[in-house]
Amino acid sequence: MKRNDQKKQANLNLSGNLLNIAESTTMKGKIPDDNQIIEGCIAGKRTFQNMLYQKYARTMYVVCLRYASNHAEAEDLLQEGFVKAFLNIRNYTGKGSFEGWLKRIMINTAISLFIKNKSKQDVISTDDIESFSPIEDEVMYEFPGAAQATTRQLMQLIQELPEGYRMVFSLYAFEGFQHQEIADKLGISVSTSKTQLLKARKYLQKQIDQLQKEERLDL
Amino acid sequence: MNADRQNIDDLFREGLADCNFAPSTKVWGKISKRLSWYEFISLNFTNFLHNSYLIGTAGLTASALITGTLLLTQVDPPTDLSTVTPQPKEVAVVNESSHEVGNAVAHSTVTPQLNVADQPIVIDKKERNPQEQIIALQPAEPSSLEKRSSQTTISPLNSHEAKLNVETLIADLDLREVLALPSKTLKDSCTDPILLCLGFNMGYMQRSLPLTGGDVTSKNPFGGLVARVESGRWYAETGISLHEEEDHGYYKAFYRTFDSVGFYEKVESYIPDPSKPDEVILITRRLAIWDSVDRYGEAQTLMNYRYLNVPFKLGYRFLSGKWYNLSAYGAGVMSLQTATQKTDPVFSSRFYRILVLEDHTLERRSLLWSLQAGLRFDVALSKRIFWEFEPWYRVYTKSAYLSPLSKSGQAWGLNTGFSVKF
Repeated sequence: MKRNDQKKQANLNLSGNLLNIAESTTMKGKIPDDNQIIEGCIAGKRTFQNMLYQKYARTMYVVCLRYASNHAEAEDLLQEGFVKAFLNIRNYTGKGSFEGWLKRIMINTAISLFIKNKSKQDVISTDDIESFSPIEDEVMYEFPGAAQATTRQLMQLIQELPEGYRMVFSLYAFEGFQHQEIADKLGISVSTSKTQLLKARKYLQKQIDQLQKEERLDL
Repeated sequence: MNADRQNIDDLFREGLADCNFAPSTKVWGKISKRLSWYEFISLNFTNFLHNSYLIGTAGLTASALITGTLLLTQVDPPTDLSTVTPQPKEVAVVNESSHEVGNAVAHSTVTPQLNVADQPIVIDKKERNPQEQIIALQPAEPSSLEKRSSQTTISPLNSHEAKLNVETLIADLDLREVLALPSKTLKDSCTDPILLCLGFNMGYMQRSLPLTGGDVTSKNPFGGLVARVESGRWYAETGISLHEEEDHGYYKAFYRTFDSVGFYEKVESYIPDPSKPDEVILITRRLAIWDSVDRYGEAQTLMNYRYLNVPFKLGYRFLSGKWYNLSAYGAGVMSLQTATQKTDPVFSSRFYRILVLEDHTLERRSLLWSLQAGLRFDVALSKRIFWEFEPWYRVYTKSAYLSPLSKSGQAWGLNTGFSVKF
């Protein structure tokens, strides 16, 4: 219930933001639909680009958080992804949802960054955990074992994963890619992809068990 | 184990499916800045005005590069022959140019004792081969040649033939002298007393007009005619050019909106029912009942202003070559507002009647003065026709608006065009 209320509130905030933008332009309070916003973005109008950003920033930010090790990195990914999207928005043909198109850009941006940094050693770093602070109230999640974890804790666990594990796990678990696709995208072998996923799952399982033992999970 | 693994995947997938995190508010600012930068550096073929930044930057860079290159490579500064007084040490010596005719040997020597202080002679000595030295004289002065011949010492072995050889040498020098005279170049043509140039140009102007609540920036194409008088390195120029610029008009209005709250059937007439003698058929018309609400609203409209610009330029050519000139100038520019067009305000309601309409559009001055500085790079396409490229910057002495709260504006632009010299 709390989650639904939160979602409604977020939608209300979004509508308010879009309305404010619309009020500041000659549209006089009329919120344009997606097609109008996209056309405005193609024309390079900053107001429409702002509208598009306001509309999808939160959704895309969650996607970026799954591929980033901390809040700042996720914002960098989000920024990079939106810039790419605005520069290439003419290539959006209208087939499929715009949100899906935008999400693919974010994921590809994350993959590009991963490949760029692939030579770096995978080190589990917990330095950034403290800096991670979700803005919204926490949402409780019920999972087998009768324990409850917050979205914050779940996101934190993903971000604690080494970069390679995190990338493979996110692509597999959230985006539904198969190992062959992951291997192709990341430039690794299929067996490496499988191993990374296995290790990621083990690591996550271990962390959840640990949390339960320490009763760090909200019960 | 498999089930556990699946649970882990599901746990995270479902747990993070509807989560709601918000990025910091600074992200949009960064995106906006980066987009502005990409717009700045990218060409947009559908909107040429959009490229004015790029053209301006490219133009200024090109001007700076050309200026720098010319300054570094220029070793032959323009010379006005009429004003040069050669010093004795500038007189080159033809050393022992010998011509053998039979047994006779003529040694022609121009000695340093030659009195050239009152002769406008410049002698350039160039070696073609070890045996021959070429003399180029500018301009031809028969008296100097005579003097030189008079300084020639002749071997007494065969004085008659030797004299002939010396005359041949002098004639040869004379011929080379004629050949060495350069044709009239751009550099020389600029030294003509007064030149009249007429031309046309066009360009783009980026103009910023600060208001109290923000800036209005417009990019306008313009075009016009120029007339220029050149004398030596100085020139004076004037002309006319037209440009249009867009701005917003502001209206506030009290207006009455209408909405239907119900309908009724108004009986307009009736006729007897032919089938039922005791009844009539009503002829009705459906009418709406309207309710009205008075509202207060604001609307922006599009304004279009046309300006006639008359510059008064004074420039100085500080670099010139065979095919180019580079000048700097300062100017006072008079801008006269010649026309204004505006669209009607439109309010958001579908049905409305305006009760009071207030025009809050800032009124503009009809006459504006500005100070302008710029560079002019012109390239000779032929003897008379020139292509010109001119980046400039302008500061207005007063605000474009009559409002005392608004500040004076600025503009920069690029002209390019052609001129013909007469």
